[in-house]
Amino acid sequence: MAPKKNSAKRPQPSTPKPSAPARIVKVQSSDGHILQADVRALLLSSTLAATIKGYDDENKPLEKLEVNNVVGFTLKLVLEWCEKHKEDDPAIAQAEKDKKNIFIPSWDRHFLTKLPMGNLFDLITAAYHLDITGLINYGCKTVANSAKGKSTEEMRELFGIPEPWEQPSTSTATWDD
Amino acid sequence: MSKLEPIWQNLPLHFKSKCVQKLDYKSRCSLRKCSKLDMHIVDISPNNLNSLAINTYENYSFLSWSNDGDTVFSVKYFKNLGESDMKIEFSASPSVYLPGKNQKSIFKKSIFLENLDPDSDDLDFVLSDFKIAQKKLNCKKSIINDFILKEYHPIAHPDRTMEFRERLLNQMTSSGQKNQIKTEILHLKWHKNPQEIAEILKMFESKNLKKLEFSDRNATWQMAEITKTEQWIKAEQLWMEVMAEDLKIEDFRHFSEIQMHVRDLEEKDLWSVIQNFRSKNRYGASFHFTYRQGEPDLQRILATFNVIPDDKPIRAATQIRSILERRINHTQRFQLSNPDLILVVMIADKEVWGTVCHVANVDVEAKVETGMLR
Repeated sequence: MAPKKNSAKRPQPSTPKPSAPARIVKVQSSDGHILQADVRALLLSSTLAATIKGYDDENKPLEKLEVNNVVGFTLKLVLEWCEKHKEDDPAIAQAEKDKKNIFIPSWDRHFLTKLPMGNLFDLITAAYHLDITGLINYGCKTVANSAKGKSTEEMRELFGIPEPWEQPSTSTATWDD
Repeated sequence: MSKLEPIWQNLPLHFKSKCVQKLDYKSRCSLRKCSKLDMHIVDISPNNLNSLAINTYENYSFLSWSNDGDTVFSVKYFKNLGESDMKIEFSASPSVYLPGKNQKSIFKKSIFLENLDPDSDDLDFVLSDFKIAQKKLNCKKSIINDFILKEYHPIAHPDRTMEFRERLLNQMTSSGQKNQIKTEILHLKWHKNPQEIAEILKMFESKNLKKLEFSDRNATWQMAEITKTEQWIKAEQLWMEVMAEDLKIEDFRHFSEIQMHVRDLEEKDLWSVIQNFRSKNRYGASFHFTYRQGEPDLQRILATFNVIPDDKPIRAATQIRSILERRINHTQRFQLSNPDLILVVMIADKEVWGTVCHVANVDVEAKVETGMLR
């Protein structure tokens, strides 16, 4: 297979390093589900990273993190994504932040496209709450990919946009009528 | 677990805007039609395009764009005043057609719209769509009154062209157009009217605008109004397929790449340009003058040099460069303060070039193709 463009810039799959043992903490969702996660994975979230740093600075034992605005089902997905990416260089996600075309690695493509659109929206909303740049990038690109080439009617169906709306006929959107 | 329905309309605005930014332009337009809120989100989300062009011809108006530079999408609008029907031809083509390697056309389809306002014509529609495309536009190249792909179009009647220009200018300079357009290259095919051209230039964000391209092949422009604009002063590259009446060397000293038509160019002015490029000492900087009336007088040019004239032609490595090189009568190399760089000045019957090259790479880097392959 021919090599794809920008392969040098593409995020590399995470590979566990034989470093210090994982520091596991409990994470509680808004609906009371308690999950476990490696702190390194949680550090991908700027929001959680700040909380963890607060505990560490005060030398307080971190037993449980409460995530009040994400339900258990979505939080599990978030943690699964973070676990997979805990070795990633955060600079890559930052660099891709405002790019129109970004490459979604195969694991992420599979992980995100298998989700129903509603779950995907919840996951990206959670990524926003927790400020996880890489997940926001891939999630938004996945949504954009799913809408690409679709007509207005197909988009309404895909996104659950309710009522048809009469737009002035001068719109460029007449192309797909 | 209960089944979750897509809740696009309830999602935060910034999230939706981020998704919109990653959409191709046609999909943006489809989404724009879904709801008033989606129209708003599309209109406030940066529109990153490679190129956008608008033009009008005898029987139709024309809008084209490229999302990525690889594929060019075009829309032709056919509508007459007094009729309520409109035909739209939508097509996509590769930006570079390579016979045997890709298809000249990717797809083409026609759509017929009915029950439209009989008082509107194709100009109304193309201008409206151009206005939508320009909202939050961040574009590599904006092309006004010309096209992205070079293909045959019938020339519009002069009256129609004048009407198009007037209406486009009104639209672009109206108070509704709040934000300056961000584009790296502006290609403007306009007829001589320095005030109009200066007005159009001011619609573009000078921080982003790097290259100015003006086309009005057989006309002579007065440049005083234009050279005063911030956009002219801050641009770095100039391409002028038009003759300038009152352009002085000082007006374009700041450009690091110049390609322009001149009626004639006095030897002392050419020498001034050469000295300017020597002092720039900047790799890749170049100039190219096409003499439209006079001819460069080789002996008088050589007499202005402060070095001994020494014709050292480049050794073209490819057949095409070799053919192009044959039209050059004299090749002079000028040392620069950076010993790794050299200014190569080439003089032909109707053209003069200069390129700042790496000393070791002169044969490859001297821009002998400029002026011929466009």
